[in-house]
Amino acid sequence: MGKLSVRNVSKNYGEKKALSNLSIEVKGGEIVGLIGKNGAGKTTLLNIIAGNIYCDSGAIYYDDINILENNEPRKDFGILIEPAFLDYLNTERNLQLLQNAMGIWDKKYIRSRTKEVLEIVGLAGKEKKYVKSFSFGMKQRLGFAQALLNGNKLLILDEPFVGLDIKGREMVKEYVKQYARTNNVAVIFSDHNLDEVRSLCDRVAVIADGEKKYDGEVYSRKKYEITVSNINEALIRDIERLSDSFIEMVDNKIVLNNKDSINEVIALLGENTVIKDVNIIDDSLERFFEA
Amino acid sequence: MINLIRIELFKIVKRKDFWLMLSMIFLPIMYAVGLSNNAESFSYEGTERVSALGYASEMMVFVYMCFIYFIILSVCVIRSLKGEIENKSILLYVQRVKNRKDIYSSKFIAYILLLLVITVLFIMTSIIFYKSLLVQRQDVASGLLLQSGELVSISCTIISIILCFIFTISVALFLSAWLKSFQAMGVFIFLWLGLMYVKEFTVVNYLAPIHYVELIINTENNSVAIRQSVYLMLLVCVVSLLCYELGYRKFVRSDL
Repeated sequence: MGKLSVRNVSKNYGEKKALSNLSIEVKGGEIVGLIGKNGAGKTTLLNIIAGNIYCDSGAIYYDDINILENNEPRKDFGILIEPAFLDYLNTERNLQLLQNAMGIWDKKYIRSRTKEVLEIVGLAGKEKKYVKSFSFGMKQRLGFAQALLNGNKLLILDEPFVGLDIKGREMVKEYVKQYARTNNVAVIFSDHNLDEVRSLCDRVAVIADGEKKYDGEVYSRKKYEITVSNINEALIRDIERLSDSFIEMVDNKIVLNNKDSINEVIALLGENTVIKDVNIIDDSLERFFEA
Repeated sequence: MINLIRIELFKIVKRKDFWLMLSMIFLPIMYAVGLSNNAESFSYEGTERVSALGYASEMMVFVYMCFIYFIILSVCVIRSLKGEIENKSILLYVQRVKNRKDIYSSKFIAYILLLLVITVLFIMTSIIFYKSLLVQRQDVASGLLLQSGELVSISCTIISIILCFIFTISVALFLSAWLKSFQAMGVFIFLWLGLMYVKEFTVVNYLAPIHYVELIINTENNSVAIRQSVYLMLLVCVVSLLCYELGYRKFVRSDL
């Protein structure tokens, strides 16, 4: 089963740290979403995996092959980072040249494969249209078609939904899900829209200031913080034992992840303990987008 | 690599800017039409009547003197590499090749192949229009394909001009790896003008291909022509090798 393994990758642009010791893994059949604010390092990471830019340190393995030293596995990576085309050629010729670069020269095969990917992305019948006449959304679809041509092992998608209409977005989501599961293809994509990320990926990694801040399930939850006047070790132990939803104790704040436990905890507090405040904290992934 | 060369040839032909180079084929056509019709704008200053290949050689010299074709070629080459880097279309190929060096090499080879094709077309066109039109001017054209003793000088002239074009391709590709498109074009133009200037000075004139071409064009001595052709070939080989090494290393190391 194919696995992409990014290990301690760093990249600096002068004094600015674009990526700092970042590690992430994506298995075959898994869809991992990268989220983060603008300038967090998501596109830089995807560009390094794609081979468009070099990292300053670290390694990237696909199965056991270090792709920073051996470009061979990248021939089976489907990449959509910045859709780019030869705008003096039509759609068909653009896709034909890419297949030629992969060593495919059989005209019949090229024609049928081109037709197939254009149908998938909703550009059927546009083979003879020149790319320079395409709208932004159409170019995005064509970029996705280019990625599908050779994305047999890994799909790298940078904001794949940008510029797409609702139908286009649904098409990309459904196809990526089905493609990843059926063909055991690893997918790593970045987006700003958490709803898109939630609806598509199995796992999410949050990138901020070039570092990975979170890597796990997509979640959206709240935390409940009870500020008390005083607390002792015995009370903390009682709360830990009795309440499954206890997370931590910070200063004089008891933090719970379930509002139903609030009454339970209050009942444990003695007469000498006064409740000063109860706060609800948004612990969803959205917090990584806040300033 | 052959895949990439085929792709580059296709792209160059489809990218219509290279077709401007084909306009040089109109020079022998225009000249033959003009001379055969005794047009006032066209005159023949030679002391002897010219053969067909001699005519082709003279037309090649005319192309060389219109240095615009070196500029056009350099612009095409620069747009081919730097243009694709700047519009990101080169990323489509970077992941599909074993080594980025192959992309650089394929562009170099593709341009040289097309240059040779255009040269052959140019010579054939010159011969065709010589035979069909220019022979009507019996004071200008001898009617022969080649006069005796002409082969060496004609070959050296044509080869030296082709070498200048190869020099152009090497330097333009190198500049496009290091500089932005517009900067590379500007540097090349200044470089070419600078070489036209330095050929006037001793010692440094040996660095200018133009110096050797002019010696070859102006000599009637075959051994001088051959010697200068060899020197020019050495110069172009050294410069091309240096430009290739420095150019592809920069391209391979660059963040795209």
